[in-house]
Amino acid sequence: MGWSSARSDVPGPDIKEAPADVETIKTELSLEEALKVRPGYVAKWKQLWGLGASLPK
Amino acid sequence: MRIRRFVTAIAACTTVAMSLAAGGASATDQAIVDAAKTEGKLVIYTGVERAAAQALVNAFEKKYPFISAEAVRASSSKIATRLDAEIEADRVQGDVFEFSLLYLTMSLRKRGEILKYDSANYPHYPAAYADPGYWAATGVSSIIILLNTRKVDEPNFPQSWWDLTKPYWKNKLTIDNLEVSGTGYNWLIAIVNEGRLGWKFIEELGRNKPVLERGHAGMAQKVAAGEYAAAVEMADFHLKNIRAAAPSVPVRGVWPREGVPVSHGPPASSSARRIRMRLSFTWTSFSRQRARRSTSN
Repeated sequence: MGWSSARSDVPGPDIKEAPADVETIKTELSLEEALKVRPGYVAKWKQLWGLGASLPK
Repeated sequence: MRIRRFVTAIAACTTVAMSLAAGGASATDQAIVDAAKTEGKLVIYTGVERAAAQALVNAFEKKYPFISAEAVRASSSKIATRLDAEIEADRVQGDVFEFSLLYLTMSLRKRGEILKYDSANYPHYPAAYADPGYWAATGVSSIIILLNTRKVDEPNFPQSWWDLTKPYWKNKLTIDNLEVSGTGYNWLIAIVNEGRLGWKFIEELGRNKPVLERGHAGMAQKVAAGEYAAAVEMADFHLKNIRAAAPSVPVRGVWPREGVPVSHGPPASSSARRIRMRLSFTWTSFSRQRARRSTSN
């Protein structure tokens, strides 16, 4: 489990502590919706954490 | 005129880049290679760590010594911003791009900004990980918690994302800047939309004052060195990379019981019409479970 090659013919390396079957967190947002909400999500995250404009780039 | 000449050169470059990313050889059209010789340069925009980018450049130049390659490294968001500006100005400098914002890749594709290139490598990719002719994923990874096992007592190893909101973790955590990090934003959007976590989790996590860092490779190294007890969100291949460099390093990954995020993300917009890039390589953060399901479909 863990990192996996995107190619069907190239195996990804194993990570020993990774679970045999990973539960996924799914989002119902489409890619387009994810695009639209990004500025608002980032702004809300910064507001909740009290972060100003000067973040490490 | 330059655009047309450049596109001709890129066809060979991306074929090779695809082969390098996948670790295998592919048939390369000799005519394209010959045309590429007249250009002589490949510029890759990439979000991967410096060593990986340099390895790609070195391997490319070894195989195609008549084309010099240059990797321009930046965070995913910086690459996206740069791309948009260059498209807007019709002065795109990069030839191939790679970042972790799949939604942006797909947006560029929809807008017709990625030039078609039919690599012989596409048949090796499951449908979920490639849009043949336009982009292919380079890997699949979970976004996990990374721990330094010398800095965290075993009873405090997190089992749930919520465990990171406990007072024990105050001033022990680091996280990438979610404003510019592709992986970081992919993590945020998944967590916020998960009913068991949501903005409440984000708010409570913030009370433990995670230190914002710049880039996951550096963050992983700092966790390994004990500068931080844990990184809140980390693509799991960084764990593999750290162990490959130093097998005894005291780090471990945690896959919380609620699950690990699946990548999706949003980009910026542009009215530009054409980009010189033939193919994009996109790091996506799908879980293995998703990969299996997609493969079996």
